[in-house]
Amino acid sequence: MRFAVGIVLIDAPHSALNMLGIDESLADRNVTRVKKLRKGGKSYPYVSPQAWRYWWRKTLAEHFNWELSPLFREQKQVFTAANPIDYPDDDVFGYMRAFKKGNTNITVTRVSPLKNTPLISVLPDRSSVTTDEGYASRHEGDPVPYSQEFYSTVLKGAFSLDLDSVGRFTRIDKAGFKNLLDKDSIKNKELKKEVEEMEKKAEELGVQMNRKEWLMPSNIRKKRASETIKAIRYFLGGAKQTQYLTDVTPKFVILAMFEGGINPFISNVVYDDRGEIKLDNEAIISRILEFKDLLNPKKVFIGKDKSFMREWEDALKKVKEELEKDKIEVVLTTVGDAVEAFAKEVEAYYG
Amino acid sequence: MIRVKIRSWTASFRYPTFQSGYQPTLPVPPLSTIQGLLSAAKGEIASFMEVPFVGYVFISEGKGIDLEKIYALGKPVTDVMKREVLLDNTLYLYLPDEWEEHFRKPRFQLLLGRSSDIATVEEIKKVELERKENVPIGGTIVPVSTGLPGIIHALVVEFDYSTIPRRAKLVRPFTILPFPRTDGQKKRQTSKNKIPYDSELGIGVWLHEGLHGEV
Repeated sequence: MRFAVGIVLIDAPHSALNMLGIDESLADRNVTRVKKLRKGGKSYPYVSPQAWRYWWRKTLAEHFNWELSPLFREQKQVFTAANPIDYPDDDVFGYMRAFKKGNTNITVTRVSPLKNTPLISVLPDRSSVTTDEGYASRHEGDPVPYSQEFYSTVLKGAFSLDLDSVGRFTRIDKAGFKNLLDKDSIKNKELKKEVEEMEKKAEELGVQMNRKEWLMPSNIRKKRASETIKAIRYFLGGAKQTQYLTDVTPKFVILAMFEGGINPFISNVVYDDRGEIKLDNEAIISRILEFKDLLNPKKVFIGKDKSFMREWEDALKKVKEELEKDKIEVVLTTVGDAVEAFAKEVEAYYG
Repeated sequence: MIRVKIRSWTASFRYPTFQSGYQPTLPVPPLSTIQGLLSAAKGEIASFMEVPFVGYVFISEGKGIDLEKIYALGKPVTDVMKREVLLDNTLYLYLPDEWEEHFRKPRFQLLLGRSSDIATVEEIKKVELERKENVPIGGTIVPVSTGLPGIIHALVVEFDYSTIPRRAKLVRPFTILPFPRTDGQKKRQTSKNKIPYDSELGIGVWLHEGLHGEV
């Protein structure tokens, strides 16, 4: 088992990447708010996890030519194809498809190997959010006032990719473990044909097909996993791009591989200190040392955009020094290089 | 016993009564979420049958509402649903020593709710809980028979995963006790009986023991 995990920071200097909509509690009903989480007396803007996943999927389609699983409607519900052989995003992002055709009621589910948190603002709203007063007007008739919130902050997000699960599909009759259907158990002709076609394709690709599990060839698993990682440097998406043009590519990343389902960076490695965003290098060092035994290879990749948080550079050198005392290599470079070097390590896992 | 400290940025625990268009979260995880965590750590479906005791204390720092586009049953158009999310959470799990190896090296990603609620183990330590009278309990659920005041819900203790979809194996009524922050809350949630007490956190820990061999 091996997990590729990391934390990303997205610089959002003037942005409204995920909106809550009109504030219905106001009499005027003309204020559009950004999404916020409340903690103590403060609120923190955020981008919901599903929005971030949508960006991730879209980036894979645009930069790596992933053919995304089509959505189709069945029994008035919408599903993806639930075909991880043909569609890499069904493999990496998981699915649930409740099959019901005629008398056949078979459901397939795949737990997503890629998991991600929301992107949460490091700064609370009082030091990051502003309300912009706007008027819709063409200088004829009455102008219509409206307000919308936007923020200036840094968003933090964490993810975890289960490398073992990519390209591995279980066919066990347990909830959550039935990724694929068995053609012998299906009576419906149309559905049977669909499954037979998937099997044929799998045979052509050289998928190891056992009764309980299908395993894709390692070159396909390698490609899917490493492209999922490589997409990090190209993230594109977010609402209100016409007006705010936010570059959502991360400006800071920490990436590492662990032999266990943990992500030590889900912790306060960056924090708000009276309106300033600070890096807690001690926390990074201690969190990595805590899981040193699970770190494999003994490497940590830290990428930072030159212009982003120049004052962090000494603190990061300290991280490198301290961890290298414990024989952990720290690759301190740009975001692009860190992601590429990390993707190579991910590839190496598949041999 | 050991105490596993688990942290997450977000968490959500399905509120058992369905509400149209709005999905609130329980303030603390039900036992079925604990079963899920134990299973993810071990790498196979765990049952409370095999766990002589389990206790937990859950502390959340905040809350928010997220919007989610959903494809609702019987409706041709998409809908937007509100979902409540807990922010900056800590879960302390009290378990027999043999669970240490599983939480040192969890087989799957640990989650406090849904797949976006990624959690991490921050600390595992050996603790001895002294049994004390008149201590507050909270951040957990307790059997209704304790008589402590709180919201009562029928909650799933454990799921049976051998059927698709999974089926609730055991449902019991529980009193939900959020982590007490004010003196008033502490006073209300104080148990007169002797219960294990975590002096470091200043909270009584309800150990679910009766589940052993019963589920």
